[in-house]
Amino acid sequence: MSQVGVGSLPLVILVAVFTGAVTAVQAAYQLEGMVPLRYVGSVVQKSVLIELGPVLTALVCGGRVGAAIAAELGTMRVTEQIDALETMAIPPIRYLILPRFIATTVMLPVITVFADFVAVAGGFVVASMVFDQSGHTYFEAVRNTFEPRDLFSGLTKSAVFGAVIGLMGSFYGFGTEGGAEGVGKATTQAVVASCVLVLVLDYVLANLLFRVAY
Amino acid sequence: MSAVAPPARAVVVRARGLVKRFGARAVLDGVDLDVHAGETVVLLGRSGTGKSVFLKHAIGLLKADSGTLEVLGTDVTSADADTWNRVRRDVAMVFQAGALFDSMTVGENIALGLHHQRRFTAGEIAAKVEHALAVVGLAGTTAQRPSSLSGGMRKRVGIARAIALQPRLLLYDEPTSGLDPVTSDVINRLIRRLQRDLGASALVVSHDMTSARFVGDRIAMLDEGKMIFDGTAGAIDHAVDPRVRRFVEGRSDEMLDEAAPAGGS
Repeated sequence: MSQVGVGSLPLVILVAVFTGAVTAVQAAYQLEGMVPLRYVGSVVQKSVLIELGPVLTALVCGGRVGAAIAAELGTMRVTEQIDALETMAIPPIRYLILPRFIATTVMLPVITVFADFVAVAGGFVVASMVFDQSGHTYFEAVRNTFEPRDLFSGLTKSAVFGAVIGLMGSFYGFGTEGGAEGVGKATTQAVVASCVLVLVLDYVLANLLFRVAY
Repeated sequence: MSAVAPPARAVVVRARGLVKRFGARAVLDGVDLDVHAGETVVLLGRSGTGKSVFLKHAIGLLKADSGTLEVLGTDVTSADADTWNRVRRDVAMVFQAGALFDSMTVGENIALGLHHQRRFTAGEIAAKVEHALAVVGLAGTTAQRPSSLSGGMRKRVGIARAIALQPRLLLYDEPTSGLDPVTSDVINRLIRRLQRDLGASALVVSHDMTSARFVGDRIAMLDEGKMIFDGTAGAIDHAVDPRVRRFVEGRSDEMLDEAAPAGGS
């Protein structure tokens, strides 16, 4: 769990800072002339909480954690360590896959919360340095449009993405065959599969969580 | 634990007409083999003849396509996971490269199976780990990582992990392959000594004639998925089958030359 969570944090924070900053710059560009710039904070907060935080964190972790799981289990497979577990009557699924699945499912929402905070702060850096906004203006906008439902729906996405990353890493790692080359292949497949599934499920979840009646 | 075998010796492994296909190729093509209680049988054969595949059937890592297989009196031909896990309490396998868990220390490797059986206290397990390591001559290595060990030491830790579970049947996959002759001899003597001290039966897969003669009470030989020899170590020297003769004497004869002329024209 600490490997999944704490280990991924520096990279996730780096990504989040820039996500928030870029969102602020481009929100200002899009709002210019239509909406007063003091609403930049709202736009950053909304887009980060419901979409950018969960999805970008999942893509980063899919690459980092999903690959690590696939490579580790793949190596255990080709060096017969998984067979060895089985011969000792230790069920490999419960012993190897379940803890990883739980770790990614629990930890992804946790690091997404960090990413959300950092991204909103990143947006503030741009707002204060580029648009000369006060902290009061920016965070007032963040606060006024905040809805708990956005946060929890975003974190629901994260938990699903975390499950996907754990499952894909385990699935491809477990099915590895053919030595070092096989481990490399399994790792790549795990990353590709988790990234594609994250994007597809993002769409499905968006429909379930944020459907607007019209 | 008696050294004297009972008059009607129990059979610990009995295979009849075992067939296993990978794709179209029958790796095991109707194999018959018995291993009796207290006996060490060496399964010989060239690379790719299905020896290791047979071994993996005996501990449920592979499932036969047809034929029957009994292990320690249980029919495991189409056994489910629960049945296998019961049988596996009394069967242990020593893997070719050790298959040690590299995220754990040597001691944790050996303790894992014992922990999982939930029959022993932590103190008993620690004592069993120390004892198993002492038996293979690696006392005091408990805290080391498998990655810091040599190939021969890793195999010995693998053996310690297997015997710590006090199995009635030991399966060895190529115990001497990839080792220098001196280390091979250490392993051979260890296998022999374990058989004497534990009274466990053993099935050893190998392509090492020296090892086979030393550890085997009986030698069986596989070729292209079929059993072509089954007898004592002495009898294999008088075998008439040319395939057995070639293996014993270590000759390729014309096999390669005929198959692919080196010059090509």
